Amino acid sequence: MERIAKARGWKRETIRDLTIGPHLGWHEGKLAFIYESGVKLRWRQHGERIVRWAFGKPWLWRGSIIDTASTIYLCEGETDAISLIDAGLESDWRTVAVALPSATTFNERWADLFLGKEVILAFDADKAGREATHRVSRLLRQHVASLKQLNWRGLQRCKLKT
Amino acid sequence: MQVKDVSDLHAELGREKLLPAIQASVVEVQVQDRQQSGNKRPPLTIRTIVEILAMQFDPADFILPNGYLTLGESAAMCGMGGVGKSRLVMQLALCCRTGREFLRWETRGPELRWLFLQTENSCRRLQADLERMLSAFTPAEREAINTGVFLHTLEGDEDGFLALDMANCERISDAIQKIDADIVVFDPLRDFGIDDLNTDAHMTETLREISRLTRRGNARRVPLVIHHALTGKAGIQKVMGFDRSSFGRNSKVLFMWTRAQINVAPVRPDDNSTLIIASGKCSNFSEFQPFAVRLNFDTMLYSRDDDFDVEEWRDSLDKAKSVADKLTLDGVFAMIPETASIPKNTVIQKLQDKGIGEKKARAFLDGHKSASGPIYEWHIKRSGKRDEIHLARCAQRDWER
Repeated sequence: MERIAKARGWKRETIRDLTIGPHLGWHEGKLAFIYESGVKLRWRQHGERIVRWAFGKPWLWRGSIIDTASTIYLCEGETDAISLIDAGLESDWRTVAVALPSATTFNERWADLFLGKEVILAFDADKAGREATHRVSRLLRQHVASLKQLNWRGLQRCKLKT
Repeated sequence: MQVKDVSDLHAELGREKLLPAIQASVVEVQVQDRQQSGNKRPPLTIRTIVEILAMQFDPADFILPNGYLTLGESAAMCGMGGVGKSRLVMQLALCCRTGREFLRWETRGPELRWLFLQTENSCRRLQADLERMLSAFTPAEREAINTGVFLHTLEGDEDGFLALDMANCERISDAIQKIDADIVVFDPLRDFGIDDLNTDAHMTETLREISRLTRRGNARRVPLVIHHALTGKAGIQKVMGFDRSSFGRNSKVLFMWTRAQINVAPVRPDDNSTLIIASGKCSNFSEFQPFAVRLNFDTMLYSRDDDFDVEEWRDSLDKAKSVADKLTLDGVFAMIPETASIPKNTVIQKLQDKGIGEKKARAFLDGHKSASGPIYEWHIKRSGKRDEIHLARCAQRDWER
C-alpha cells in the first residue's frame, strides 16, 4: 500500500479507505480493483502493463455508490478515479468518482444508474477518450440531469500556467 | 510532459490544485454536431456541367469587386505587428457600411454586419481611433456604421483570451449568432491559435475551427483573418514578388486556406504612416499591382499615395542587398592606399557605409589577411596604449613599427 501510494503520489489514507471500501486490494503482488461484479488485476511484467480479470465480468468500478451521490465523475480507468478521490473530490459526500474498466466498456443498460444525476465525463485526452465521450454521452443524455465533460485544452493551459 | 488523463494531471498539478483546475474546466458535452454527423447530413451535391453553366450568381457577393473579399470565402490580411492592419480592416468595414470606396476600390454590401473579435486594442485605444475615423463620415453614415459594426472589447479577465478551446468556441459561436454577423474578423490569428501556430498541424486545426465557427448557420459568412507577418527587412522584401505567399508567419497552411490575401508592409523602418499594400493571393481574379497608402493622422484613415514609386522602393531594398553582396577584394583594395596603411576600423566603417554589416566586413578582412597578403595587417605602436591595427597592401617594415 505504501509503495503504491508513493509511486502514484496518493495519500496513504486514500488507499486505506479504498481498501476498506472494499474497492482496492492486493493479490499475489498484483493490484486488485474490486468490482461488485468481479476483480480486475493489474501488474507489470518485463516492463509491460498487464490487466486481467481474476474472476467475474466488467461493470462500473464503484458502481454501487452512484445511488448515494448527486454528482458523478465518470472516469476512464480506476486510477483516474483514485486520483480524484485523493484530491478530495468525495469530501462533500454528494460527489463520487466511479470508473469504466476501459474506454470501450460501457453497456447501455448501465445508463439507468445515472438517472437524474449530474454527470461529468472525465475521459482521457486522446482519440479513445474522445470516442468514449461521444458514445457514453449519447447513451446517458436521455437519463441524466446534466452532462458535462472535461475541457482538455483549458486544462493543458492550466498546467502550463502552473 | 503531455497531460493525457486525470492521473497525469494529479501528478503535474498536485492534489491541491487538481480539483480547482478540473472544476474550472468542465463544459457541457457537445453532442448535437456529432448527432448530425451520424446520419443527418444532407447528401453530397452533384451537378452536371450544363447545370453549373446555368447557375446565376449575385455580383453583390463580391464585397470588393476585385475579389479580395467575397461572401462565403475566407480572406486574410498579413503585416508586421503594429503596422496598421486592424485599422485598415476597420476602414474597410466603415467604407463597406457607407458605400464609400476603400483605397479607391469599390465596395458593396452596406447591409452586411461586421464583427471584430480582437484581443489587442484596449477600449481607450479603440475610442481614440474610432473618434477620429468617424469624424470623416456624415451623421447618416455614422448611424449606418453604428448599426453594422461590432467589436469584442477587452473589459473582463477573460476578454483577451479567445484561444479556440471548447468554451471559447461556444462564446464565439454565440457572439456570431447573436450579432448575426456576415463578416467575422479574427484579429490577430495568433490569439485564436489552438496550441503552437508555428506547426502546420495546429495552424490547420485552428483555421478549420475558424471556418467551422464562422460558417455555422450561414455558409456565406466570411472569416477574415488578420495575421502577423515576418519581421525585418527580409520579411518586408516578401510583401510582393515571388515570395509574397510566404509573407505571413508559418503562412503555408494559411495560404492554402485563404481565397484572398492582402499583404501590408511599412515603407520605412521607423514609420508606419506610409504603407505598401500588395496582393498575397487572389483565387477569383487577377491580382492588383502594389501601391502605397498614407495615413491621415486627423482621420486615422489611409488614402492612396500615387506619388510614391513602389518599384523604386522595391529596388532600394534589393539594392542594399546587392551592395552587400559586392564585397570584393578589389573593392577593399580601393580603400587602402598603395604604399601606406589605413586604420582597420576606418575600412570597416567605409564598408558599413556601403551597407555591409560589421560582422561580415570583419570576417572578409580576416579571411584575406596573412603574412603573405593579399591584405597585410600592420600594428602601429602607441605609447601607453594598445597597438592600432592598420591594413595595407604590403608587409610592414621594421622601421614602420
